[in-house]
Amino acid sequence: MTAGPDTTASAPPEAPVDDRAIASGGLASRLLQSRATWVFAVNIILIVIFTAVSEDGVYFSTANAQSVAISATQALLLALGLAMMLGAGIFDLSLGANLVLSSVVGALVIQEFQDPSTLEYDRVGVAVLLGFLACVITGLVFGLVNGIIIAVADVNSLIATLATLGIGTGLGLLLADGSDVAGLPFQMQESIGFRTVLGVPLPAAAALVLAATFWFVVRYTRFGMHTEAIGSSRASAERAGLRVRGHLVALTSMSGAMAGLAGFIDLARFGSTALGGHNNDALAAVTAVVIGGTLLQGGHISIIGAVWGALLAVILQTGLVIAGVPSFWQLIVVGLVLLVAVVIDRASASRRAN
Amino acid sequence: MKPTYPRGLIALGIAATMTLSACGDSDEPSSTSGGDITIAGVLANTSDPFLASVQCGAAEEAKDRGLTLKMYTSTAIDDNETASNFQTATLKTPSGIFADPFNGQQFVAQYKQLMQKGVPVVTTTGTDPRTEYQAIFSDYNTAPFADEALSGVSDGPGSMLYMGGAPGIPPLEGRTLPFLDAVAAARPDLERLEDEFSGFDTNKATTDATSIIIANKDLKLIVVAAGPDAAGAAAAVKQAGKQDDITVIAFDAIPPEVAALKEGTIDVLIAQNPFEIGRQQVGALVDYLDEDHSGPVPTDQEEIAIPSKVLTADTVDDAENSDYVYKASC
Repeated sequence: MTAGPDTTASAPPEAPVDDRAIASGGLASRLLQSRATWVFAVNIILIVIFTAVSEDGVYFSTANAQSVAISATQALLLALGLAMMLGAGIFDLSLGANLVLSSVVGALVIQEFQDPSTLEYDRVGVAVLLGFLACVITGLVFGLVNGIIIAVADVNSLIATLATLGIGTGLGLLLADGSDVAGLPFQMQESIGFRTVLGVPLPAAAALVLAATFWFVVRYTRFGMHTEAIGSSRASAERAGLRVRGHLVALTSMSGAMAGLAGFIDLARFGSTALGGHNNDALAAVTAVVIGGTLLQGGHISIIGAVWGALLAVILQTGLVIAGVPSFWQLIVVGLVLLVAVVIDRASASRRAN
Repeated sequence: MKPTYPRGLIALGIAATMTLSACGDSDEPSSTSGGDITIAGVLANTSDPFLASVQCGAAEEAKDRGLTLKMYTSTAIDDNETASNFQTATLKTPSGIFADPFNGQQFVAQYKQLMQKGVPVVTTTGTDPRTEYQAIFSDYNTAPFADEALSGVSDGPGSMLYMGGAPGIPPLEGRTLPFLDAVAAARPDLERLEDEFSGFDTNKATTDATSIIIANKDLKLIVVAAGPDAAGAAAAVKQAGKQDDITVIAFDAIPPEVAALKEGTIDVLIAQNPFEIGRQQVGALVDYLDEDHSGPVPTDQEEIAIPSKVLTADTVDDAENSDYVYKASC
């Protein structure tokens, strides 16, 4: 009788444990490992620099803080929706077109309450409320269409939203007769666009509340977990029984509604649509989201990072203008600082990996 | 212009229908086939009310003269799209062409070929050296408007800002820079801050203007080269509550600028007459074709400069100024 195999000798070497999902270290250590923290740190450094170089330290003033907040609002709203979509592994190039179309529909709805002879508005409150709803619903429907094309027709999200980018822009121009819809009630600007709540511009406050809501959803709800799961591996998520298509449609609709809300903010800030001002919105939102730590390939969402990322671009822009940096140099400096922010992050990521 | 049908509440629902109906709707200028002459118009960006108004003027002149007008337009500032449209226009062998590309030199070779074949070409941008039959454009001499436009700026030293839209656009700089020189001569006590360029982005223009207002408490004057920047400057001034302290002088008269002018956040508009430019472009072509020339078209016609005009809240609604208020559609 021969002896049995020596199981001890043939045992495979012990595989390293995949501990990437396990939080390591204390709170401070975890914060330092977060990309959002690094972007936040860059923001603080920039604020300190711009305060130092601006005359009388005017950069560190309430007026400028309000300006930065309101200027970052639309980018943040778009970034929040896009962060969720990227988290699930899909993309949206049509955000700017959605914003424009939504604002045009909202503006036309508001104009229905204008007396053609006197150009005065009747029932301004109702007009603005319906305009707001029109913006959000238009954005939501736009996103819903995107979602159906992407999830149901199974078209690549880049291609699908490139197509709806053109369709949305064209529809917006058609409805607006090719030009900005102007002459909306000035009360919109006074009571919404320029209004502050405890010193925070009302649109920015609304965006922050939405950011907190999104953060909660991602961090503590099944919906958020499913979103990241789909982004990590759509096939695995489907095998696990997740209703992936419905989830993607929900995400695009949600992102669309955020674009619609951003469109309404156009109306509230300018008293008119801004057809020509949103060509780069999708890219700005992607920049904010990715710099903030959301993965382009899906599977990880950083809402807090998106907030700091959206602020980074505006802090830079306002700081350079206040510091009197010539316009052409501003473009170069913005590019360089964004590059530095990403390089710092990659360096920290590499250190973590080692 | 206020529509006469209820667009707003049913806007989204009828969007698809409008898409289809627009193909045969009044977006294209009315044209007649009363004569043998066919004029082609190539416009760079008809989502700009200035060019939409040029189109309206051209359409009206064509209608008055009983000829066929074919328009080839795009809705973006894209030289490639304009080139494609120009190519399409020439394929239809028109009797004459008027062209308003953003890049004035873009079609020089094509102009030469067409003119050699006896097809007159009229432009608004002009070429250097001259290759078209005639250039009809807005008068660049805006300096004489400075005194009237500056009347609302308070005395004493301060600073001023120029928001240039986008750099490197000759017609835009041609109109605005002489005015800025005149402002500098009339008010040497106004220090000119670094120019800002938004790329015609209203959001960026608002952010830039707000930052400048915060950083320069002595800011007295903002001169704005184009409509989107003007809307941004107006929003920034209003947001800062500085309508009484800062004078905003803007070029052009697109609907948001006119609304801001009436509201008081823009003080003065220096408006072109795009309708007249469109009329005269078609008129120049037809006049030449009616003379029954043969052989290559000459390039020795004098340029025609259509005067601009200062509009204020008090004068913008005057009947004689209606052609100076840009329209999105005819």
